[in-house]
Amino acid sequence: MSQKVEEITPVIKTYAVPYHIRKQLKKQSKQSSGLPFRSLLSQAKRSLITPPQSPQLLDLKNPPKVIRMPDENKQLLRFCTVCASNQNRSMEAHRVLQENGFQVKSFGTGSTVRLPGPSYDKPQVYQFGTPYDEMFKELKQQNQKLYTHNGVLNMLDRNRQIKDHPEQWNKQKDIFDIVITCQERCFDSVCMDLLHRGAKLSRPVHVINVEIEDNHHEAALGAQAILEFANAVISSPDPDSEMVDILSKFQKTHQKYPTMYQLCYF
Amino acid sequence: MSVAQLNGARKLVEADPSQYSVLLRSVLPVCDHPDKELRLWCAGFIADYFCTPLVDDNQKTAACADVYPVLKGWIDDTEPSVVKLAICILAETYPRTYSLVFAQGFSYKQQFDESRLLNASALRKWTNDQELGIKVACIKLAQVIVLTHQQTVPHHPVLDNVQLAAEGSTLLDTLLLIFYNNSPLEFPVLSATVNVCVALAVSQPHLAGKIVNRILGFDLSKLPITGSSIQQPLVLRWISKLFKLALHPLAKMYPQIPKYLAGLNAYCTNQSLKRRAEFESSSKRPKISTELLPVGPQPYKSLYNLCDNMLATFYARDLQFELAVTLAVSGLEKIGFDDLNERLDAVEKRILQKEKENANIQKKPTSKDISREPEDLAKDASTNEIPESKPENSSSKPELSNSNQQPTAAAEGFEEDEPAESQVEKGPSRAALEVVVPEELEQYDLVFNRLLGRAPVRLVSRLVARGLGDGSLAKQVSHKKLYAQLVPDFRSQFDAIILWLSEVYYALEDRAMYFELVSQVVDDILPKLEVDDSRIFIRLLSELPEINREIVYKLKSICLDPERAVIGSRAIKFLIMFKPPCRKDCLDLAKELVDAGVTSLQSVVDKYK
Repeated sequence: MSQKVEEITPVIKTYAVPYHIRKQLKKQSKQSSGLPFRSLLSQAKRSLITPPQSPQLLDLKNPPKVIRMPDENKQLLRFCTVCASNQNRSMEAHRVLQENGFQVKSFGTGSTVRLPGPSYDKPQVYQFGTPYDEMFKELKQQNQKLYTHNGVLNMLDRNRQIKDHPEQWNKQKDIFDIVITCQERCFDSVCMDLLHRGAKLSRPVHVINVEIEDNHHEAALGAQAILEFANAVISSPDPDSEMVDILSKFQKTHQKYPTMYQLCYF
Repeated sequence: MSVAQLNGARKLVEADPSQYSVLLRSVLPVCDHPDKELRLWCAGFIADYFCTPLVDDNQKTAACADVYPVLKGWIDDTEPSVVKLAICILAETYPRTYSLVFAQGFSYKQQFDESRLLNASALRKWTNDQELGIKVACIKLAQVIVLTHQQTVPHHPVLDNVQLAAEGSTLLDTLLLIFYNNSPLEFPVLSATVNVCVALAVSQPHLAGKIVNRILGFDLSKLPITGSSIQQPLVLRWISKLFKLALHPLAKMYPQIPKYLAGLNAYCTNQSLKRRAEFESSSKRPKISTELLPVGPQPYKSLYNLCDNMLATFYARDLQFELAVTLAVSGLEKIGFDDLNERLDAVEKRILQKEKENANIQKKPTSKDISREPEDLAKDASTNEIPESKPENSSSKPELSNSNQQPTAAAEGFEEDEPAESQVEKGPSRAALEVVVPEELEQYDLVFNRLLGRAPVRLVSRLVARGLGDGSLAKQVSHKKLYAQLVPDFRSQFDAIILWLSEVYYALEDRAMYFELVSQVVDDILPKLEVDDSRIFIRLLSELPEINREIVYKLKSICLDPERAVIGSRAIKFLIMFKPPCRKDCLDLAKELVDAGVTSLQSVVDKYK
């Protein structure tokens, strides 16, 4: 893996060999048989050059900083996407981030998984943990035409290729560096849950909300916006310090998705 | 040893957790490797080791002693992420070491001293280091130390109670200092501090009073918030949300919290609006005085002299209606973003001023009001009718005078300026517009989209409801667009939806379109309602000018939904009690529901039957 370190190479001219040492070297070259004066001088120069340990030495404002590359950040940072039912918005974002090489998981904050049913007041309700495949087969058997028309079968087919079943946020015990919620209600649930857990694991986590409407079209657009945000995070040399700047830039370019942010602990 | 190999090993131990400690022991010797990537991996692995539920607590406690020498090297590492993770590990290991010393005394004194030295070097970075990740880790370490030092016992052979209590108290004061500090605000630091402090207050009730008092002493108005014009309102919004969520668990114990949150929220909203206004006023666009309205008629040729005075004295009422519409549509299509905003602001301002004047007039009690019996007033209120306050020129409004309910104050204000002659001409002109608009629907569509994005809903809905011919294609398209704009986000656009539907109701004699739109809105909103939306939904039903039987019966489905039945039954109860025009329909529905087993409506049915 490539790494860039700001290297500071001192200029040799600034560390000239003092006169008394030159005199000693001349004497030495005359006394010793093989080594000429020039080679002794270059050796002395090398020995005199001290590495720049303090910033004052080279008149630098800050000590040299280690710059981390996006690929390293991608491996280091663990992302998580959260929506209500872990079906549409979080799963689309999960898919997009995973395809782009991010370490990502997804969860839902609802009490049950609710899918659109034959009418508004008759949603299809499943428990978290029911495999996507099972839901797909059941709904296909019930009314293939309806669930194909409203996009539910297509969505479940995508989901079962990503993971086995929808997972509930409250029951998960993994640790993430960045949690991205897709609805303010989910953001509130995640923050409250982290607060109720008592922050016993001492691991900081950035919780970010990107408000996305719950339909297939908006979920696809929102996932692309989340990918842009994730790319901005991993491109930053210090994501912790620059998170506010990254979010304000994101908000400027994506005014359609109002953001929320909190720094919590697991 | 490479990172790829280590990742492979990690996958193996995740499959077989019993090998986790074996891998930890193999990793420890390479923790001081010059390769930064390797050190980072090791730091991440050790931090995860102490957090994973897969490893037994006793194994974790036993591993603490092995980890301290590594942490000693990492605390001053050049890579900030390694330092951050080292402090996180320290926060995890310190309570374990403390509990060992607490239980077994001298046997673990050396390990305890080592951990205290590490704590001291880590906490020095809290104020000295510029890296936010390190600061945040230090905040957590400080909270852990405060929490750990609450567990003391007198005359312990190793633990000096007084010293530990003093250390804890000092660290708590340092944590709480941010709420009194007037230095520029860093939101992540504030967020981290609030979260750790609230966790501390919840777990240690004897510290809660002090912590809550300090948090409630946080005065945002004294703090300079740095950042761009976009960042500042964003941060204010985050702060408002942060305090709302964090203080929620303590709100029941401390009654002053809701008041503080309300004040904070109001301040954040005001500041956001103020900053936005400042930003808009500071832009370099030329100002056009729209306050001075023309008094007398002005010639049409004045339009061609676009200097301020001539524009201000131009009298648009002299134009023929069709010509005015053509000019407006083509003008709106081409006008610049800033100019359009400025003009819309001016119109909005004028409407608000009118509303204020009308409200003042209505507030003054008339002799008629005084002479009325209280029962009559109650009857008026219960029928949800606005008391009659006809404007002076109400006789010149044929289309409004036929309606059985009077328009709202807002609706009044907009009409008053128009002279009687133009109203008389309105009928044929609108008919002409119906012919014109479908042909130029595309152009109109473009203009409407521009207006929808920028103009206040009040203005757009008024234009659509009254400015276009009844039943015209343009009107239908406009309503559809307004619907698509407002209804999907009904929680935040709630007032706008009421305003729009009220406009539709008062503008038309034929109510079919109004009921059709209300029906669509209710159909769309009902499945999305959650229990928390109960108030919003009731307000919507109460503020709609009229509700028919069909709309009332739409509530049946939600009353039968086991999860959200409470919304439906509350709404029906409210309508029965406070909206007499639809009481009969609601009672019929309530009876049906009671028969179907919804017992919550039994009492209201018995009372009003």
